[in-house]
Amino acid sequence: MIELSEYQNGLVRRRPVGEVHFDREVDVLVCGLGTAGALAALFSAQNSLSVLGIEELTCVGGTHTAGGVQGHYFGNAGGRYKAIDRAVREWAEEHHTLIGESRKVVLEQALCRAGAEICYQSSVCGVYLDKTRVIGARVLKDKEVFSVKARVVMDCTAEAYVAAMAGCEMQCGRESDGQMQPYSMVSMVYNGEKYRYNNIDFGRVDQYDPVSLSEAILFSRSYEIPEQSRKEKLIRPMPLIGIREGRRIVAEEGVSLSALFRGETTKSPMYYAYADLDKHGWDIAFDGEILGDWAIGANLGAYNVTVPVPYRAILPKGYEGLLVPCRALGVDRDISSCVRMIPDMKKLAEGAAEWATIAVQNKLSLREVPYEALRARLTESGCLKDGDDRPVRVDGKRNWDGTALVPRDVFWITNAEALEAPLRSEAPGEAIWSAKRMGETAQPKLRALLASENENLRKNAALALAATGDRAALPLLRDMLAERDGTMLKDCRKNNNLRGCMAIYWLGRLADRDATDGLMELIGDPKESEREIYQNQNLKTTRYKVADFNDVLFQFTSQAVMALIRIGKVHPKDRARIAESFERTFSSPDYGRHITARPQNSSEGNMVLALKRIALSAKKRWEQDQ
Amino acid sequence: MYDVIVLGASFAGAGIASRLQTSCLVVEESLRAGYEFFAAFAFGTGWEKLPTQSESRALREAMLEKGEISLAGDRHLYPYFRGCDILFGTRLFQIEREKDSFLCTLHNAKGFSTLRAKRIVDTRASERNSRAKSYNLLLEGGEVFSLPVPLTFDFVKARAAAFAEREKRGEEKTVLLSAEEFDYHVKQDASCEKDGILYFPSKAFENPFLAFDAGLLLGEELTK
Repeated sequence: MIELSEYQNGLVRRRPVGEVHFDREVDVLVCGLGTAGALAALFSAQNSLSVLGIEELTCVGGTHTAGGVQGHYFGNAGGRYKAIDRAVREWAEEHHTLIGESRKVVLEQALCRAGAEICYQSSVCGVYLDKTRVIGARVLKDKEVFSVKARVVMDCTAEAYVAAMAGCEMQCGRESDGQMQPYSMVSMVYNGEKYRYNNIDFGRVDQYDPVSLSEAILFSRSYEIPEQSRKEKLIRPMPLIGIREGRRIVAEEGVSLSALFRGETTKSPMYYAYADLDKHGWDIAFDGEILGDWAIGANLGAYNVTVPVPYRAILPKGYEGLLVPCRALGVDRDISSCVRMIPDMKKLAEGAAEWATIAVQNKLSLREVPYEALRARLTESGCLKDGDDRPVRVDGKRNWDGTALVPRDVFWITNAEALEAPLRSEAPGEAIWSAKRMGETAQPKLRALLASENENLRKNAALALAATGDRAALPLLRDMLAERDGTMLKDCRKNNNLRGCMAIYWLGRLADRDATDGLMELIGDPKESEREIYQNQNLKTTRYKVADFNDVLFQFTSQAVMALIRIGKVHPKDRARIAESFERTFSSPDYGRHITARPQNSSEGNMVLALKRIALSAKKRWEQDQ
Repeated sequence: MYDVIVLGASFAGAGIASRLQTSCLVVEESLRAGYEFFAAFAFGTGWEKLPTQSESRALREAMLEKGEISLAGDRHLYPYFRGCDILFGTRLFQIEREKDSFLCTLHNAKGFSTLRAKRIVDTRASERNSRAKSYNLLLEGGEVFSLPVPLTFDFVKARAAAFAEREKRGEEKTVLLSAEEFDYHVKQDASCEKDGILYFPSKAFENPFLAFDAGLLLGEELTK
């Protein structure tokens, strides 16, 4: 029995439709011809499959063309996309065209030569299913609707629209408040010598709510960032807004950060992703504890991890006939920032195309395709290389101080005695994480170091001891809170944490009741912002420096709020006074002016809004639990 | 129910919405406003003419930077949509005429939904209401390379033809961007009322602020 599943007023409605006379029939229907979709369509067509590509915009390439994003962080090179990238560069040079435009033309021409059909200004408005097997889709173009039957449907919409419509299980947003990474606007600018793409971050948007999306567009398209407007001439804003994160499918084989940290990885990778876990906002306090332990507690946020991406991460759990080779693949939120780069999308595209090809050519379902057959193709092209499976790594061009960075693999310390030397330094992160990994075996040595006369050693030892779960660290952590320890640690090339903020993080993780008064003082004292530490915004190792945003005050405050929430979670008796503190502080309309005066919809204003909302939501939740 | 649904976050659409404010919904398929001129790299002519309304004059001034048309001048249009309801990324699927209103079926990220309006004003240009169209490339220095193309050409064909013609003419200035929208040359009689729907294509006007000006005037009429 064939059913049609559609969105109506935000809800998925599924109804039987009897026999369907499809208007079109293809091997592969690719929904969304963005960074991944264009290549998925192309590689499928080049593999002699019949392909129809649906795209809402009037060009292919998505973020990589209409979004103005040409660069990427890290990733592992290799795969069929290399030939396309080479063709794009050559065409750009030969035809005096910027790379983004060259890519549009080269991809379009390649798609046409390969026999793929492109349908612009179209969107999927319904999915046909036979139980949990996706067999086709309904497409809306102008005011016409037509139906397409496909052996394989590829959801490359980035927002998993097709998968969501089909009823696939989804996950979305951060645990604290459901929010996703900030969005950006990219514009083409000219500095007198060169044209380039300039990226400006804004707040959060709910791209699944047209009202929220429209608000974001109205704000960001007309917002003029004061420091930017003087520097370069604005040529054109790019048509596609820069959404970094959306919902993700629950896949047949997903990837989680906690599993990665345990060393539990797939035996059937499609490729290896490689990047840092960049959440692209400064409100990292609001991300979860798995990531928090790494990025805040151990100050390793800019260290690179390798993520073997299972091929079945693009197959929605329990479904057949549908692949999701785009940033909506089945990874958890913590990992997602590492697996959303442009090279990742290109490799996902190739994996999906080859998988579909084997299935169609051998008359198999997607699940029946043997991994070894897929692996052989991906290995041949260079998409999958065992040499890409590397340990955690320090990588990049420049250190935090501007000096040249020498990339290196990281080897965790396994002997407690060897923790002392790195803990003496201002780069103790690897020692802290090593201690966490060692657990109880590291505790005796770390406890002994708490008494050291060397300030760095005793304080860093406290952080490392806290990471093992040992409450003996608490007194020193409270001291660091009280003094607002403003030492910027230096493990990472960017986004290092202040030691006082790390101490507060661990106070929260250990749910230290005795820190409650100190934390409430931090968030509630009207004179807090006058402290010396918040006047110094020239810390070289700090996060992005933006005028009119007191990042140091924000980091301390946001960590304190989350610590209080964690304490309240474990100690119900403290909830009432913590809640009262939240109410007193965050209900004031004045709150936040010492952090930023920027509007709510800006990246800075949005973070202050999130801070208030998270605190007051916790208060409300506790009141409801009573 | 809305008094007016305006199809197209165009310059004319912005003018209408500015006057109607909360009784108006603007429905726009793309994620842009003012695309009919700026996204098409068709900045219009007659910029020296002064429009009739003070808001249009202010918009004109804002869009001129140091006496030249700003290529990103459309960013000044967005605030004019603040008073009304607007849905970007929303496609009009169907209009059904009812006794005293129109039932519109829309499609966007939330799927299908319906809304009612007393009036519909369509400010969009397309092959249906145009006598011709061009496809444009933005070159370094702000110059525009424009190629007339058949109305039947889609974006793939038009883009290929424009680049090919540019090559043929030996144009060496770097192409910065290719247009996201066609430069429609709207028919003389495109502004009309048919089946109760008012067709008022923004692109029928000489330039963006004259389109906005006309929208303001129409909006005022519609409030009566």
